[in-house]
Amino acid sequence: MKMKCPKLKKRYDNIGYLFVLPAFALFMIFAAVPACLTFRIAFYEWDFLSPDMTFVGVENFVKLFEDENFRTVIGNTFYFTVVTVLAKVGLGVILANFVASRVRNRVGQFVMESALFMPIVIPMSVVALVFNKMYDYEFGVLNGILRIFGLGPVGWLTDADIALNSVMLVDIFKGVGFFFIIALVAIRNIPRAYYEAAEIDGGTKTRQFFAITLPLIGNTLVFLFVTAFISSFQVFDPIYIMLNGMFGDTKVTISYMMWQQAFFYRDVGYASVIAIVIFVIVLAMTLGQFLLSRVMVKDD
Amino acid sequence: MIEISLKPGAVKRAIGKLGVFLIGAVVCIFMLFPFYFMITSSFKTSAEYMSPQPTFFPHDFSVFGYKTIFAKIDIFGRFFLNSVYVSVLIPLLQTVVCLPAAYALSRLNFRGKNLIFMLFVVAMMLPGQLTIIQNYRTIVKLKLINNLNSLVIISIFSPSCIFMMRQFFLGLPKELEEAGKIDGCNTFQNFLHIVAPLSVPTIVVNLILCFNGVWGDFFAPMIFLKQQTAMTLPVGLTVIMGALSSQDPTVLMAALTISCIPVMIIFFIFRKKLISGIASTGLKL
Repeated sequence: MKMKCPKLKKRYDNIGYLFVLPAFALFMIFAAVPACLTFRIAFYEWDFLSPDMTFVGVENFVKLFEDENFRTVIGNTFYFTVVTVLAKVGLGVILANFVASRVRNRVGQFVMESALFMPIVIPMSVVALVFNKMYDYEFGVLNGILRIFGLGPVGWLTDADIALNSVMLVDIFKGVGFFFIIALVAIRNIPRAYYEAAEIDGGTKTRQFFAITLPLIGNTLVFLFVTAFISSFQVFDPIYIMLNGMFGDTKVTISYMMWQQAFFYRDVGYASVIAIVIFVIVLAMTLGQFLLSRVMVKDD
Repeated sequence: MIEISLKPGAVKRAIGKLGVFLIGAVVCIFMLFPFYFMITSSFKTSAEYMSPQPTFFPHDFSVFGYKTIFAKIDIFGRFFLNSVYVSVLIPLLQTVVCLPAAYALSRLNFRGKNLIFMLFVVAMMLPGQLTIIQNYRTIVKLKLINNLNSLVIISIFSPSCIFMMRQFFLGLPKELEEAGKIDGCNTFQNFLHIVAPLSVPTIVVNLILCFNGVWGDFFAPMIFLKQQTAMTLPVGLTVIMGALSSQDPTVLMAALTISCIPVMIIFFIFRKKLISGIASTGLKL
C-alpha cells in the first residue's frame, strides 16, 4: 500500500498581527510618520506656532549651502567625530588587549573592568556637570593641580581653541568603556591555542596583538567604528551642557545646531533640512558597515 | 647563607609586572578621579572647595551640600521622583508591548512579517533628530508638554528591545511550543505560559539596560519638560547648576552624587548581567 503524504498547506498564524499591532501602531505614530513628515517640512517655512506652513520649495536647502555657520558646525562635527572615534575605539581595543593578555589576577581584572565600565552607567549630564566644575577657570581642580606644578591656568572651557577639545575628552571618558567591554569579550572568545602556538614560535605580545588579535576581531572592529561614528556624530548632551551659548555658537556640533534652529530660533523647516543631513550621513555609515562586513565575511 | 639566584628572566618579568600594575593604576585613576572628585567635593565646605590649593580629601568634613538639598527637597525630590517614574514605567511598558511583537516576528507565520521586521530595523537607524520635530508637534497636540507621560508615550516602542528579544526567541527550541500545542495551548497561551517565563532572564537584562538609558536621557526631556516641577534629574540638574551652584558648588556635587545612587546600585548588583547584555546586543545605552 502506498501512503500518500497529505500536502501540508502553509499555516498562517493570523494572531501574529494582534501581537505586533501595539508595537506597530506606536512605530507608525512616533517613528515612521514623524520621520517622513520631516522630509515634507523641509520644504516649508514654519515656526511651530502659526497654524499653517508656507511652501518655500528648496529654499531651506539653498540656505544650508550658503550658511557659513553650517560649514563651521559641520567642520566641528567631523573634527569631534574623527578624534573621539579613533580615541574611543583605539583606547578601548588597546586596553581590552592589555587586560586580556597582561592582567593575570582576578582582582586586577575586576578593578579595571569596573573602572572602565562605570562611566557607561552614569548619566552623561552628571559626567558633563562634574567635568564642568573640574574645568572651572578659577576654582576647577584641573587648574588647581596645574598650579601646584607652577603651570598657568588653562581656559578649558573659556578658551575658544581648547573648549571643543575639552568636551571631546568628556565624550571619550564616558564612551571608552563601551568599546572596551565589547572588544574584551571578542578578544576573550579567541581560542587560546593561537596564542600558545605563537608563544612557541617566539612571537612577542605586540606581534601577537597585530598578527592574531586584530585580524580575528576584524568584524567587531568594523562594528565598533560604525557605532562610535554614529553616536559621536549625533553628540548633543555634553555640547549643550558645557558649551551652551559660548563662543557665539562657533564651537557646536550638528545636533546642537539642529536643536537650536528648531527649538530656539523656531526655524523648523531649516532644522528639518539639518536633521535630514544627519540622517543621510548616519544611514551611509550603517550601509557602509553592512557592505564592509559582507566583504570581510567573504574573505574569511 | 641564602643564595638568591635570579633566573635570567626574573628581573625582566618583575619589571614587566610593575609596568602592568602602573599602567593599570594610571587608567583606573583617570577613570575614577571625576567620581572621586564629585563625592569628596560634596562633603567639603564651600570655602575649602574654593581655596586655591585643591585638597584631595575634605579637611573640614561638611554635609552642608546634602542639608541644602534636603531643605529644597520639594524641588530636588520632585526631580528624583519624576526620574524614578519614567525609568520604571518605560521599561515595563516597553516589555509589555515589545515582547509579544518580538515573539510574533520570530515564531509566528503571517504575511508581511519580514517587511515589518525590516521596517523596525530601519527604525533603529533613525536619528532622534529626524523624529523629534513631528513628535514635539504630536505631544503639543496631545497637551502633554510638561507631562512626564510625553516621555513614556514616545519611548514605549523600542526597536532595539524587539531586536534583542527576537534574537533570544530564535534560539529557543521549537519543541517546547509544539509540546504546548499538543497539550492544548493556543498560541496566546503558549506565549504566556511557556515562552514568556523562559525569557525572564533576557527581559531582566533588557529592563536594566532600559532603566539605565531612561535615567540618563536628556534630549527629549529637555524639549518636552519646561516647567521645573515636571523635570527629570538630568534636566533638573542643569537648572540647579545655574541657580544653586553659582553660590555653592558643593550643593551641586551633593545633588549629582545622590542622582548617581540608583544607577550605581544597579551597576554593582547587575555588573555581570549588564556586561553580557551590552556585549551580546552591542546596543549602546
